[in-house]
Amino acid sequence: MKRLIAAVILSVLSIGFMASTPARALVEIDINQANVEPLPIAITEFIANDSLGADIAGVIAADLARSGLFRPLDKTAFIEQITNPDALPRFEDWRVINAQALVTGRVAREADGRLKAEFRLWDTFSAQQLIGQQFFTQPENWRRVAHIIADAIYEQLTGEKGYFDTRIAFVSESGPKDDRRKQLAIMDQDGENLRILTNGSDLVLTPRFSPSGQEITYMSFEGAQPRVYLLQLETGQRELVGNFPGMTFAPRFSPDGQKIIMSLQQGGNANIYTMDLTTRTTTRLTNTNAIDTSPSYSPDGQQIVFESDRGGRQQLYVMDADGGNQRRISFGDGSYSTPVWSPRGDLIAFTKLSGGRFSIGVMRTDGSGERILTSGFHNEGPSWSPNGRVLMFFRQAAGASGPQVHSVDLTGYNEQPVRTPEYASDPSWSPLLE
Amino acid sequence: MKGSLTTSAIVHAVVLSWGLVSLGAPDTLEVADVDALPVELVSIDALTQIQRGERDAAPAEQAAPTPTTRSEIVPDAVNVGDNMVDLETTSEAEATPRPVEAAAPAPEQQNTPQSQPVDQEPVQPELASLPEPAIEPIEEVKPEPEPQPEFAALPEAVPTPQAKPQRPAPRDEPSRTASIPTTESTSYDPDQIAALLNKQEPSGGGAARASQEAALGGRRSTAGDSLTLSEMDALRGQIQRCWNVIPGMADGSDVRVRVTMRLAPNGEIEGQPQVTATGGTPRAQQVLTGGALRAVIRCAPYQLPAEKYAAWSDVIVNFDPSQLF
Repeated sequence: MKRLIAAVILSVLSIGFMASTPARALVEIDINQANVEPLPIAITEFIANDSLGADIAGVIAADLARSGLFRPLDKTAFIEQITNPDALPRFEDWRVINAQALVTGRVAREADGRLKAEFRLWDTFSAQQLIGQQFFTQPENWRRVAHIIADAIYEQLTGEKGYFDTRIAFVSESGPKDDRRKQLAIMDQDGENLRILTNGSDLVLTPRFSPSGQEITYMSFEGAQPRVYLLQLETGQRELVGNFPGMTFAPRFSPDGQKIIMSLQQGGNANIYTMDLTTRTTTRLTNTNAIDTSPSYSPDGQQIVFESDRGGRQQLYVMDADGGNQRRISFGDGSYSTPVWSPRGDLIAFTKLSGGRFSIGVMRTDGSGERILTSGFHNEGPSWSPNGRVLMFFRQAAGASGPQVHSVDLTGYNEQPVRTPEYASDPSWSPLLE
Repeated sequence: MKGSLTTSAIVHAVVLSWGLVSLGAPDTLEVADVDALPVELVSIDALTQIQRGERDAAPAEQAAPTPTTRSEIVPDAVNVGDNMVDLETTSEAEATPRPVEAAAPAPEQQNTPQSQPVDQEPVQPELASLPEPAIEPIEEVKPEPEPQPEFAALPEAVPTPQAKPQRPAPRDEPSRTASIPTTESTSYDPDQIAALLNKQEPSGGGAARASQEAALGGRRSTAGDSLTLSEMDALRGQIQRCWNVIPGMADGSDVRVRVTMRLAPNGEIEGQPQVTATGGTPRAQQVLTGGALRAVIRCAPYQLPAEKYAAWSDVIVNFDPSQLF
């Protein structure tokens, strides 16, 4: 009897529930294609007493446009004139011109002479502020502030850390082809604030930044032997790295900045050595009758990728940081050289010579997924941006008198020249400046 | 063991060799020469949809929407002018001013006879509280079949309002403007203004105004309950167009964003869409959530069939960026 009553109650309840389902219908759709295009963003002039507001906005817009992921809108199209960056903008006006993000800001000189810069990033369609920050700095550092603001905007809208507050070290080449002057130079990543570091009396090659961004190691042809040197950027102090009997070249820093890894030439072949900068001890990592060169550490410092022709042609090899477990990772058709491990740790960039053409490509750390980003008469020497998204390399066009530095995005798009006053080669990207 | 093995082998060999010898090729299949019949595939739901109509009407091929029922139109109060005399009965002169019959106030009429919601009743008690208008310009007029009403002669008396309008011949679109007819009467009588204005009767009735008789059917039509595939594709395309994604984002391929939103009949978004994101890193979730929300807001209002509004009033959009990275 009880079970019967329970069954009846249960059935009545279930019928009741069924009858009470709402009549509104639901449409569910899946979207897996998108419009992959640069994000339209409106960057207004920062409110300032002088032209500094427009200058800062200009640097930010140029940085974001050069990344290829943003499309700063033309100022003449703006409907609303921002006079107070703290007030809520009229989002309707910005939606109409199809701006998906809006940057407003103010820059002012404080009483003690410092520069105060603040900005806000707005999402026009959700009608809310995404980030707002302010910075204090010396007035002559206004470019760095603009780059830092551009980094913050980049990070908020793409989810990756920016790379605009960085410097590039490269070799500036000048003079005729048969009497080339090569000098060490550094500049901001947008080409401004260029500084020449050596006097050009001796040839210099392959400058590389330290992880702190304060030192550069490079190879110079002065003296009896071409050697690797270490240059302190702040003080200008220079020292020889190691006292090796032979030529040392292709230097790089380890991720902790404590060691320099390089190739040492012995007779007809070359092997890879590391030198500890604090203890000045050297360690030999490879021992072959081949040319092992161009070593590069992984970001965690556990592995090293390098180029070796022990198999007959230049190919890429990976080994542990102590020199063990050396294995080949490149098996494509051509010769592979100048490998660089990405700061993200997932890819290795390289130069490939195949069929008479030089290409810059990336592959995964096990050698699979090889992808060519650019190909031509000559491309060489890739260097990663600190967020592992952009590669800088140099190229000498057929018939040109000198090489130029170019940058390309990881997706292969947005290849752009990097403007330098003279010819330029061997670029090296610094980490984000502190 | 060996004996049985040999026996088995011998019997197998005998059977196989007999089969090899005696069994020949099978006969060819005779195919009859028959004309192919064209076949049309009809989905069952095309036949089992309920069309909207009335239960006791005759079945018809084409579903005619149920005819509009209109509430009783109450005659206007006909006190026009400052006097307190009822103009209906002009011959009688009353000694005491009689309070004018404040009949149930007329339903509010608009000049443009759009389809009015069926519930006219609630409007009336609201009007009852309004002070009685001294001059009621709105007046009931006999409905004209043609859009251009021709006023032959100005009537001497105020025309009596129609209690229930006659069902006119089927007309498609009633005229929107009430043209003021030219009067042949030389005298200008301001009291007759009401007769001049608004020749249109109030257009009551439901969304499906029809003059046809209802066909056999149920209360609601089930045919329009779900969007067809092409309509869903159209909606997908409208949202996809606005979804902007930064290419090559790290950790982006694992994120799934789900947006739930309610749409108004005109395709605009009602309220705030709800967004949830799963998978990937928090940073990638945040960026893709922002992008998905922007996509959904940018492309409103959406073009969707209005008659199927019940089907698309709530929309869930699943954003899957895995193929983009």
